[in-house]
Amino acid sequence: MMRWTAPTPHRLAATAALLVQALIFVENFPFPWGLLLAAPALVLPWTASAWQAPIAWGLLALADVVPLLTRPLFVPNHLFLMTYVALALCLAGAGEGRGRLIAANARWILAGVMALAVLQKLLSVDYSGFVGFMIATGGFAEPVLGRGAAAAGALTDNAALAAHFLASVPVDGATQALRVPAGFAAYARGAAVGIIVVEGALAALAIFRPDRALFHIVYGGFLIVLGLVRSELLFLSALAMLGLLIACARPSRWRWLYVVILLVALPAAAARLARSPSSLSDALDRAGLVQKS
Amino acid sequence: MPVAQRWLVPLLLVAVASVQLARVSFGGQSRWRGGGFGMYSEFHPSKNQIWLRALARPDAPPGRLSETEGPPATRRAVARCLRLRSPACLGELAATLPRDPAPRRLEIWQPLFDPRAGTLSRRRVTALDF
Repeated sequence: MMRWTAPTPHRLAATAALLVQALIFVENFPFPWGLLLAAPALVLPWTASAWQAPIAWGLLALADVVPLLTRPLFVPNHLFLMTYVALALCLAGAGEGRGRLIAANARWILAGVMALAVLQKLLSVDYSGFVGFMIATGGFAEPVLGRGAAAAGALTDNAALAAHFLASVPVDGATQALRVPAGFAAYARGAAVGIIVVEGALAALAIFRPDRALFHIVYGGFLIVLGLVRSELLFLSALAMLGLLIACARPSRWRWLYVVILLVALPAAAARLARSPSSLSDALDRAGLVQKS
Repeated sequence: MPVAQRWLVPLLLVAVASVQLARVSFGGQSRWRGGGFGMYSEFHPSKNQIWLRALARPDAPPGRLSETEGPPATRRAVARCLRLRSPACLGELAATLPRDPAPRRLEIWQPLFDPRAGTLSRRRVTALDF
């Protein structure tokens, strides 16, 4: 009887990276190019050693750069993230120190992403107002705020009020009051500060303590909460892939945390892509299998 | 461990983000776009709006330009200006609109929310008379 053996950490990490890469191709290239680029990315992990060939990752990174250069204002940030990861996997070579190099690059990419997220929020004058708006209209924190019927009703009402107001002709000084509870400003400010604190902590942990359990607990918690409050499935998958690359640097059971997150996020992201404007949905639409939303 | 293998990617990330931050600060670019990882630090560019006013007819309601309606060149320019809130971008958009001898104005508006008052409003970010 054949016994199942767990894939080596590096093969696991490369497989995850290739799956995320495949979906990002599908998302960012028109039909049929996205699917044509995704096909080799899906085949690579099953071949003997192509998944760790620098040339393969170099070609994938080059393909990622095309939409970055041609449509920089329209591509999502996870395409930038994937490009950096593909480039890091290419530069890591095929030698003995590959795993350590990949993990080192992954944690600096993660630290950079989190530090930039903090910096952007600190520099934005609209940040706390935006967080307040998202909470008040159910944009996020809905799983928390939406439990009570009254809160859910307020969220729905606010979303409808906002949509109606934003559809009207803009006039200087015109305002639309939303239904918010007393003390809402303090709650919104607390949430805004809390997000910055968590992201800042993750940047620091990625730099100074990437091999400690604390890093994986905070980062895993962050990813789970992110998945619950926003449907950023491909970005979530890319972030989980970074965690896996970091966790695979040395023997650690933490990698299974990221594998579980990816097992949930990747199929959900693929299902979302099948219905949203993408090369996959174009193909399914042409075949009459899925109607685009 | 060769320096390029270790530091090229983080340095590239910082370089791209620096350009993005400069474009946000001086060029009106949305924080959501361009590799600066500024998602959720301001309203999404899809919430921005572009309106066209006929200056000779102040009583006439302005028309909203959409990235899903109109000629392809106009749609592309609208989509770009929603993410790059600058007079230069509005100039490119104006060039795609049908010619009209009467003076007109393109305006980009973005939403604002005041958590203390609980009120939503909009502010004009930039405008172009042509």
